[in-house]
Amino acid sequence: MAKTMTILWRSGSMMAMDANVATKLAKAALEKGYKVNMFGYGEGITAVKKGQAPKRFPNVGDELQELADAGATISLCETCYAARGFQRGEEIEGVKIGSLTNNLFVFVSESDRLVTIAR
Amino acid sequence: MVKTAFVVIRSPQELDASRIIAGMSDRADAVVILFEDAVYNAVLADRADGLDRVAGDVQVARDDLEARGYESSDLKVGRAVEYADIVDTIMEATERTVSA
Repeated sequence: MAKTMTILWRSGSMMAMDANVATKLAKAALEKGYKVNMFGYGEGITAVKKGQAPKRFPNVGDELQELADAGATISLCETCYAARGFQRGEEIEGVKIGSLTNNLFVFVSESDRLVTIAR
Repeated sequence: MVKTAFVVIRSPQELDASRIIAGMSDRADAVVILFEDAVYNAVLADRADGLDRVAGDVQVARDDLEARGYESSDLKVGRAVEYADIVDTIMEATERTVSA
């Protein structure tokens, strides 16, 4: 059975490249045949917003969509999501609005490695 | 000691990661992975020396290094690696991952 990497990200879609580092690492891990989970919380939830249009910057929403389509399991904190006024349905396809207890802890318990990309 | 991958994303001005690394690992068991502005740690001589003292292996994300106008030849410590190499380091070559 393939080993599992969980990546935790907490920075927003802009202002730092943290979310992009997280998606690039996830992509590299998927390409190597690992199972990949990703969990976003805090400002990290902004990265899953549908319809981002960052013009000259990498579009982390598209990157996450590609990862979800490629088999990564992506979830994020519902509390953080609602706290910032997001409504269900504003997120990209394939991302699960979840919680620390129901999703992150399960990810961590089933993972071989946990990588946190946060500052 | 557990072979540990230390992930660093902050710049040398934001964080001196060498103290965290020294506190958590022997030099032989410490692998440092530098992303984003943390790559400056590997091109500034004093910070590079600091990392070299605490980590037996320093890996610098090539994309992040080159995005900032540097090349492998500018490195004062460690080596430039691809994201795929970093995955190998995290998943196979080390036993735990610590984000500094």
